[in-house]
Amino acid sequence: MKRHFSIRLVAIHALGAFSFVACLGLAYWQWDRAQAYAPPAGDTVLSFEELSPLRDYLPASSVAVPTSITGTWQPDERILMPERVVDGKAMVNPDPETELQVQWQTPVGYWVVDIMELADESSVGVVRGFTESPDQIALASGIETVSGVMQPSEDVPGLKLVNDIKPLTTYLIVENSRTIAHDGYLVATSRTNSLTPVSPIFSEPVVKGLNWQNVAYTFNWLFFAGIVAMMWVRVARDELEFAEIAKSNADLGHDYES
Amino acid sequence: MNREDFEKQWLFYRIMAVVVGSVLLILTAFLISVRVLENPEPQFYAAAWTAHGYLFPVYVVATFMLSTKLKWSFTKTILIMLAGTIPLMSFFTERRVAKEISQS
Repeated sequence: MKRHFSIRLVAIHALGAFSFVACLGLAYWQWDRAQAYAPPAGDTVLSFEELSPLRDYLPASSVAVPTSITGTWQPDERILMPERVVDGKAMVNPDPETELQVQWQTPVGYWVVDIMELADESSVGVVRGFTESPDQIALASGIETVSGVMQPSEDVPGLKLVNDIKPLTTYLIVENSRTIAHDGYLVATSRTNSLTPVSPIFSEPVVKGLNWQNVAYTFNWLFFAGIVAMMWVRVARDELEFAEIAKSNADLGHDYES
Repeated sequence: MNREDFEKQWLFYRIMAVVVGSVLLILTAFLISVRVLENPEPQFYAAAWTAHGYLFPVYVVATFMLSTKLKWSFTKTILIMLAGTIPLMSFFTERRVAKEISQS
């Protein structure tokens, strides 16, 4: 029976069990993400940490959900997005496959994006408002709490702006942040300055029900778990067979000696 | 070792090494196009990465089955499996394994 407890076999079982459980855990994580698309009811304000995980894409379920952040403005990192109007929806091309030029009947100006550094030293791009003359807008400074709704990076698939408007991307925010930045940006709904409030591109939750990609990844990890289980059984069986042969050989050797 | 069985496993491994290597190479080109050159994501982009997520485990199975036939060490098996995650590497490992088999 000693062979059943060889260090090698214990290591095989430990590694097999760990890998199998890890695959199941990752499958559960993807399933959890796939289901997280039911938008919260009413005007529930969710915590920013919950909505916008750091080092990850902004979940589609977080888009347009009211939240609030408190942090310190980084006055040297302002981004001005030109050729824009107040109504974000008006800037969206309904057919992303085509180019569309629109003659604006409303004022055209800048979206003012300031970077806020949070307590955890992460950065968030905040669209503070619209202006036709950005030079007259004082730089944001100090500590402030801002309410708003999260928006995805404007280079997400399926979103195309009219008039070749330069998209406000996470990449742009990252380039202008001193610390690690969250994906997407926040459109401020609380008015704390002289800027005209911006109407976000997405004012309604964009995804409802299960997200197919996360469901696919869930089954992907279950598939991996199955493969790990198969390898685990096979390697452990080979190890036992090997030990059996080694023991037989040893027994034979012992017999010859006696 | 059953020769016919081995031939099947060897062919399975080679097909998967080439398929996974080719898909990964194409997807890496699109990744550079989207992330570095900032081109828009093609429509099939997300679906293609998901499909690669399913092809890779099949490559892992093919590698594992061949490893049991050729009695590879655990480390060698894992390294050859991981070669499927690095662009071009599965082509090199497939060539190297072919050389190893022809010499044995």
